[in-house]
Amino acid sequence: MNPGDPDASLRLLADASKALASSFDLSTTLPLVARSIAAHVADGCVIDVIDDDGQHHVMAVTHRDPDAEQRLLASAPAEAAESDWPNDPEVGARTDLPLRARGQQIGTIILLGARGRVGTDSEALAELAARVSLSVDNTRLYKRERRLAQILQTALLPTTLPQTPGRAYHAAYVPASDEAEVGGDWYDAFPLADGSIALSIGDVAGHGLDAAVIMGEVRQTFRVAAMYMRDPSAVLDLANQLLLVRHEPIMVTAIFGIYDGKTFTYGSAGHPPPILCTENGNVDRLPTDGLPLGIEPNGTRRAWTITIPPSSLLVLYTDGLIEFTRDVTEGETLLAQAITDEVKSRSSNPALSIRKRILDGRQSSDDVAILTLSVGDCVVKELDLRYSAVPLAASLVRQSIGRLAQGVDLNPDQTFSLQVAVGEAVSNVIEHAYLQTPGPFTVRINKDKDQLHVRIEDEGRWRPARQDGRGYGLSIIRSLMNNVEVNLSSGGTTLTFTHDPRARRKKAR
Amino acid sequence: MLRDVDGIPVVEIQGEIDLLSVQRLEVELLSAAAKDVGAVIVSLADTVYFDSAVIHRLLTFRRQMSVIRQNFYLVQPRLEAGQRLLLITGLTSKNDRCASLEEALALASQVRFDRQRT
Repeated sequence: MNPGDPDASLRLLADASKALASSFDLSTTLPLVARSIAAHVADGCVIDVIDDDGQHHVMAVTHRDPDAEQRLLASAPAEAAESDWPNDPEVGARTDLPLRARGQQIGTIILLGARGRVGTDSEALAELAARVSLSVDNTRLYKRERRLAQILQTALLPTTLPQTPGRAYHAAYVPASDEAEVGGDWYDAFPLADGSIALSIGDVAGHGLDAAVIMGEVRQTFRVAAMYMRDPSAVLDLANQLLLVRHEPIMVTAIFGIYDGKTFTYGSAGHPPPILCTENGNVDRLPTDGLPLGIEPNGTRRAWTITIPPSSLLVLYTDGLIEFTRDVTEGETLLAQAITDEVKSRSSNPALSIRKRILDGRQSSDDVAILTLSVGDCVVKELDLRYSAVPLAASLVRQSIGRLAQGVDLNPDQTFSLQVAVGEAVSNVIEHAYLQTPGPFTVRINKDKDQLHVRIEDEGRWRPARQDGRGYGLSIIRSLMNNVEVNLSSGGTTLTFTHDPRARRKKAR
Repeated sequence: MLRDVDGIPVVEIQGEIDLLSVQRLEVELLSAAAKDVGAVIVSLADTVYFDSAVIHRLLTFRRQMSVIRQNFYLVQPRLEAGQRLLLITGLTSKNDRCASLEEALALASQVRFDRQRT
């Protein structure tokens, strides 16, 4: 390189700018800058940065001569600027370029063997120092804000979760990788006055302090609203209204629900669906709808109801958990497998275990929050189920009857008959009771002496029997069960029947 | 669900099937009929739950098979209550009801053999 070579100066500035723009991580960018300096205007380069606490850190050491570089590295003190290191004439005379920001020195670029080579390029070196200073300062500001946002976000997340007999709540929160900004994910679980537990999980679009602050506002809104409202969709609507009056528009996805010890009633605002895994390993995505909060003032939002069976696991999560591979389908498959494995092995903290199974030490570019509800095992001798009339409910009711059958000692034939009879009634509710919005229905089964009394109620109206060859439902129920009665009223339909296993066995002979 | 046993298409319904999963059965049945070997076997031997949506679909399929001059054989469920359900809904007749897959395969193979001869 020729002394005072203007092309070298330009190449140095171009290379250094490119290196500085490549990352927020100074341990990545500054060695690249040092190598550019050593390549274009000096024999070697050392970059020393002073942190917020006044501590010096050698961020880069490089030299064209590998032996000289080794000597430099071997002789580097713990705190570079508190000595005159490097002062070895064999590695080159030093020229110091102070790094300055906001009136303070924040580091030094030490050029080795540069004298007489750069001569008239002092302007280029000053420009280089200015660019590195700006980058170091911006990175420190960014890290400071990120640390503040992390502190705020962590402070806003609950430190303890409710404890109720036979039910366990667990959570896991994973901040985004160091390179990414802090997001606005949260989870929450808190008791209500009647003993129910309110659960929420959500994700504020955007990052940094703003997202953390809004996360706190929305979570607090849910907490206050839940004191006065039992309808989760109304709670979400209230939070939506509050977000819409903000000066700056912001979008939030969330799920808010109330678990009364048996049934989870929830509403969704554009959030990934909760996942329920039952004891047989079935993994079901629960129904959701509704736009995210903060978008539409008059959106229709529904509440969904689902009875959580014994020995099952309900998982709420944020999208960072399924999007970290950049392939949502793959992420959903991994999540389903992790939940199935978790239900089989039953760890002491399902949320942490699921996080570990999926991320496996890898860092997500987005925050991840996981909230789980584990329902313990128990002997079932009667059923009191409540669901929204969605197809998934049919299979969950069937599983619950399987559980009941164990508790009341039905044989496989008796269990099948009961499952078919109840299943036909439930299918009728799902297919015919509600025209548009799936309303609720209940299934209650009690044992009295040797008989099981079944009562299925909805708030809709069954359509007449179909003429297309289907419509066997009621006749199947009548042929399998006793005392079948259908009561149609303006408030809904009630179907009752009894199942007498002994009578059925006699009849079958 | 659909497999080939000695050249005969066999649709085996394992585990549970209801209104949520009946669409998949529809696809399997049509694929089985499209093989056009003269017979299709549907096995409920390992079915632990089925409902009227499934029965309705099988009744329709039996009619469709009759129209295209193919035979339909149904292997009964092992559960007595399941067999009773088939009787209640008229899904089985003496001609197409089989106690086992082997019995159904013997009947279907004979149909295929007769068809090839003519």
